[in-house]
Amino acid sequence: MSASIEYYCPCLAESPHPPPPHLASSSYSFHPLHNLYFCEECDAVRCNRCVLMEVSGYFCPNCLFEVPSASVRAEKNRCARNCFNCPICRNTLSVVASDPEAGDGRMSPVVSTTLGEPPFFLFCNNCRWDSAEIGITFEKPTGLAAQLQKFEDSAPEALEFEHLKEHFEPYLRASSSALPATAAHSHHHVNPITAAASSALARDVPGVGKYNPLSRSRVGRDKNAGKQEIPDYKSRVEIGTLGALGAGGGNSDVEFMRRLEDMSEVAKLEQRWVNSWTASLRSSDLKPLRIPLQVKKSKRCPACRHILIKPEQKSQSVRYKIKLVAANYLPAIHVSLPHAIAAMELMKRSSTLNKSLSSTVDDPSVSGLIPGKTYAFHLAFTNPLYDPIQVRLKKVQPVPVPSADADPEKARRVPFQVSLPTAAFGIAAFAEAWEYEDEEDMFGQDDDDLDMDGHGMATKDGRGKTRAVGVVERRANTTVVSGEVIITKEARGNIRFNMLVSYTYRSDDAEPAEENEDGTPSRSHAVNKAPEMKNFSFYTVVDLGAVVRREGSRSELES
Amino acid sequence: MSAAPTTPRKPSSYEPTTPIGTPQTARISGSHVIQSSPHYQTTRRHSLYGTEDRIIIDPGSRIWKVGFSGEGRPRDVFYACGEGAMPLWSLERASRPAEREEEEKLLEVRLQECLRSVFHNSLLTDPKSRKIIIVEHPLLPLHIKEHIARVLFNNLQVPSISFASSHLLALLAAGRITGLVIDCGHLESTALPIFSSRPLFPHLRTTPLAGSRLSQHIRALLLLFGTYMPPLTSVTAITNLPASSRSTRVPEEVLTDAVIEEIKTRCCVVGSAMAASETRAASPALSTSDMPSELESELDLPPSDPPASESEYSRVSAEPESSLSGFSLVEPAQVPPERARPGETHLQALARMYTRHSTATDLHMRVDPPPTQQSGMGRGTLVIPGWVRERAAEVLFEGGDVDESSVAEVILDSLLKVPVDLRKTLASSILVVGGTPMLPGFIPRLQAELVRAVSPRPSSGPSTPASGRGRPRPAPYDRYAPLRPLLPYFAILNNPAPPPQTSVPGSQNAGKAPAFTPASMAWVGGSLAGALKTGGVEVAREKWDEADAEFDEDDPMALAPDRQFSSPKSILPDWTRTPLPAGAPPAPRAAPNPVVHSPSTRAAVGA
Amino acid sequence: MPPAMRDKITIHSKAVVPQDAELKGDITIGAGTIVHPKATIFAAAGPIVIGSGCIIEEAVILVNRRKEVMRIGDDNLFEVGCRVESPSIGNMNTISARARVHHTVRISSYCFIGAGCLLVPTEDEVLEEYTAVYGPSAERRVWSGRGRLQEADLRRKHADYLKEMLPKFNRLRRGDGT
Repeated sequence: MSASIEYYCPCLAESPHPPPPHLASSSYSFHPLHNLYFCEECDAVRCNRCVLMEVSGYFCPNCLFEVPSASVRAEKNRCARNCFNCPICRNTLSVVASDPEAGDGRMSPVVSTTLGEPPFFLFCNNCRWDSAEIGITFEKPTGLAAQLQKFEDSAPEALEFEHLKEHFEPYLRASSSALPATAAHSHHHVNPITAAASSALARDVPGVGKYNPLSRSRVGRDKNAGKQEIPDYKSRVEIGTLGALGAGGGNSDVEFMRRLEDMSEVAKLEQRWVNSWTASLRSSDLKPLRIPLQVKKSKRCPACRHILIKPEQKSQSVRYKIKLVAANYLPAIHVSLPHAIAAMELMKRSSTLNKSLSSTVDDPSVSGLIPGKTYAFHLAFTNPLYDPIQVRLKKVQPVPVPSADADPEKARRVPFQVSLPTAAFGIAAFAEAWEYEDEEDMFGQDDDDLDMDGHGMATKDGRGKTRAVGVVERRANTTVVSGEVIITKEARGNIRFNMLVSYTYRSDDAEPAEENEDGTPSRSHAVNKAPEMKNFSFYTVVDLGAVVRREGSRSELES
Repeated sequence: MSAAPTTPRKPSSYEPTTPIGTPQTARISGSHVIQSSPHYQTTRRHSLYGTEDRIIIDPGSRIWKVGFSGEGRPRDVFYACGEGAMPLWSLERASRPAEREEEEKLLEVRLQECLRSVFHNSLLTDPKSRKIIIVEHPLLPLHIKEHIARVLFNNLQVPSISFASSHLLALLAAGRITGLVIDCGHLESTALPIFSSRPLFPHLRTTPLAGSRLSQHIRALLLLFGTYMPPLTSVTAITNLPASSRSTRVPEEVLTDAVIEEIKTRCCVVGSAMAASETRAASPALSTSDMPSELESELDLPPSDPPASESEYSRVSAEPESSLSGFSLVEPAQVPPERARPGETHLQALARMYTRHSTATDLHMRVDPPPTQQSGMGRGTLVIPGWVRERAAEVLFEGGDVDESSVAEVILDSLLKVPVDLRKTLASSILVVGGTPMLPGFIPRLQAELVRAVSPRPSSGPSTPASGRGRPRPAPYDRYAPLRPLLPYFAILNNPAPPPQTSVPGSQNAGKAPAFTPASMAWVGGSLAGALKTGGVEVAREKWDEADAEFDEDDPMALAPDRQFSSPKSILPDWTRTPLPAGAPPAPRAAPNPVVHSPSTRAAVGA
Repeated sequence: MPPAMRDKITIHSKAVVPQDAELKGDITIGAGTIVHPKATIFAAAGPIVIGSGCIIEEAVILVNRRKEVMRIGDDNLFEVGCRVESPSIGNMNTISARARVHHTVRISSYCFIGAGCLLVPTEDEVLEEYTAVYGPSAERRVWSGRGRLQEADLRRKHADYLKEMLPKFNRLRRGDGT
């Protein structure tokens, strides 16, 4: 979509100001409202990049089995029941039975209800891979992963790894416990010549001296030098012999690649790269993959450690025990460009006449922004609170202070001018009833009561009252205000600007206004704190879409 | 460039954080475990599945491998920023402060994304209870290391981080503690000799001939020699046209990074070295017997090649073009003039030579057509000539340039630096790791190249008519003559096709390493180190927080741009850093100038 | 396309073809074949001959653009919204929903074309038996054929069910003359 708005999460940064919106790195600081959380303790927005995540339960996304965390580790974060992914296309595999042995052709006259018989195998409905191709079949159709587990446990890399560990362990134990002894020992045997050579080496090779002031072994004159401390390791499976057998890595692979006729015979990198053991390149040798588990995460505020969101334990459930999402606290803002909407309408109407819709929809010149023109844009604020709020907008200078030494040419010219309504405006409280009514309700009756903040704006009213800037519409708990953007001739790229939204809400009434229906046990204390008006501000970035250049290409605009 | 790391300010000084003579040294890691947490020591030998399991992260500029210690394979491997996206970092850094700052910020947020996903999506574990081992490339720039540490400590709140040298860990995975490890990754190939588990960092040698260069080369070759058949333009299009008339040059948009990556990983193979006689027969212009050094002058042709060598090209291109038609559907005549670039004629000479000696089959690959040609009629077809598949990797073996030595030369250069009495040992325990050696045939070819570079040159070499080549050649400088006695000893530990056994003691090592893949060896080594409760200097969170607080107090006005220069995190281990005299208290940032500069020199070297 | 093609529709008495199905040109439909309403069979240039036991679902488009006969074998399943122009199709193939097969492809038997796959090769080709085409880039592989008996059985049941149900809610179309 052309116009959008995202909310800023400071992520515990010291500076409360948002980064300038034109930088690529800034996009990581802005999030859609529905991705944000709100910590009531800290009175701050939190995002997925700063919250602390905790695992609150493991489950298999395929069979929805809740895996006890004790067995997650041994099962390597993968489902240990019947859930497998196709090694070729990553589709979920299903367990199927073999065809009956009888060679009666296709005309088995009786419509037998269960044709299948024992050797079961895994079958992919997407690419028709089946595990019998690589010789994996099962006697019974349950607990397949357990049946395969033994292969996994005796995987060559696991055995080799244990072997390596055994190889190093004694050496390590010796060096860590008996180091002083060894040191004394080694010094004991140093004769003057080796000592001299050793110091010469330490001089030549700057690292050595410091790394091992005690060592004498480097002076060893031959290939045995390094091995005095540790015997040679004898691999269980040597890569040389493996290669010679054609099991992978060796010349057979080179020959295979050279004679390759079809790329699909070679497994993709993604299909091979988890293998730490030299294996065949062929995609026909790939094994089914157990489906990785997923977790339900609860998230905590990074500052105060209060829980922001906590799902219900059951994997089937999609509900939350605790849910402090920012959408329940901050007004939702929707940006639209009236001229673009009008253009779309026009196009829709015309598209019924001629079929060239697909070509015109993509045409940015219809809905895009043209340099040198002035556009109005609408910001629709929706109040999620049970209290009316007063909102005030403030545009942040397109060239912000923090990066004073920023790109000089960017700083020099401001490619567009934004005017926002400067006066505060009210948004009526949220009420369930409004969800069902579509006629405009009564509104604004308490606007005047809450206008105490508004008079500060009076001086700027002259500017705020320009033609297109101001409140456009009030409906239920939504207020639409209009702003204006003047795009200069040389503007290019996306029109994005930061906007500070401050809103004032009354937190005196006893009912937990901001609470959502799920109920949050931890928030009742906020009520007794401030019986008067409270203020909250947050930054957003408004993206009005790309400036269309008549001659420029699209790709140019993206940059 | 490659010389930078070897010239520290004070040669005798490493590991400022290493308390000399700490009793509980984890010798195997070449550095000392700092016993900052007594708890750690008491639970040292804990159960296999306890909290002592560490998390091993092998962060590459493109591909990350993550998993738990004590396991033989990583739990997850992923592209750090999605396939085909630009790598997390590159060899260059922006020079202007504003750009630099932006780059830094971008790096940090992307690192944060990756690291968070490691815990939350790949490993599904709580970072607060897990110690981390970072598999650290020796040339990983300090600022990246700092970013990683900052995200892990501040954002994820891990209890401790250890940094362990990737080369050393890879060597551990091969069951050894002495050897010459060459890591051929995406950005760089780096050779590092390791003796008795001590990395000899000053002898480190590096070259940018690695994965990303290979990708570039594949792209260049395909643009010139590949063929592209666009999809039909409509359902009813007439299809009786012969393939050759529809085929075109490869549009550049077709060769996205993802496509190149797929070609590299699924189609490419490293052919064995061509004998000198074959080369001579194939192309008189290239008929010199000392391939590596001769070819490089021919081959390594950046577009900005000096005009001095023009005559050479014209000579090459003046030859009959007949042999060209054999490998490509596109005749050279079809080459639109504006597409012709400097160096193309030279590439064609190469093509002529290689086609004749390549038996590899042409491959067809389905690719998305460029956006302008998308007609909803499916994908186009890219024809990859067999010789490109087989010979693209030649670029990695054609060195000779001072800054860009070949992969084999990097090994030899490093060996030249090593004290004489270590050379034999190291030469016979070369370990090749990294993603690029996953190409089938890479390691055997490397062995051949090593032997070839060291072998005595036939007398015909100098006697080639050098004068006729447009540029007078200096008398050949026999760089590796000192290594010649080592010739029978060269052995690559993880050579899947070792040369026939000889009685020379060292050479028997060839192919004796366990059959871990080159790409995963560093990770496996990290897992091993974690399981053995060693693994590099450990930085505890308390220490980090302390340093952090100290820094903030000292310099609350610190501006972001110079953050990386006045490096606050002197607590991170760094082998380039000048140490303090023994007994001195750990100095805060107000360290003498050399400290300030060494990270930036490393930054220039890149990772 | 050439309007010369006269409608000549032959429907086996055991086939189920609703009147809502759009048939144009010279078409022969074999025994036990089910055509859903709103399917389109268009013999534009040459005739179309459909064997027995095929299931042609809603919004399927079968077109013959060539002069020669387009032969569709037995027990093929054309799922919702696919468009097939192959000049010849063997037996027991599955063309999944919204797949598109161009007239340059001949399909042998036991082939499987995945949902949404676009099969538009630029030159004539024949899909070997047991070819499976899948995925967004229409990758191919050869499947083992294991489970095909069960699949055939299932398809027969499917056809039997449709044979029973479709006439209850649709007016059936007879061959020429009715």
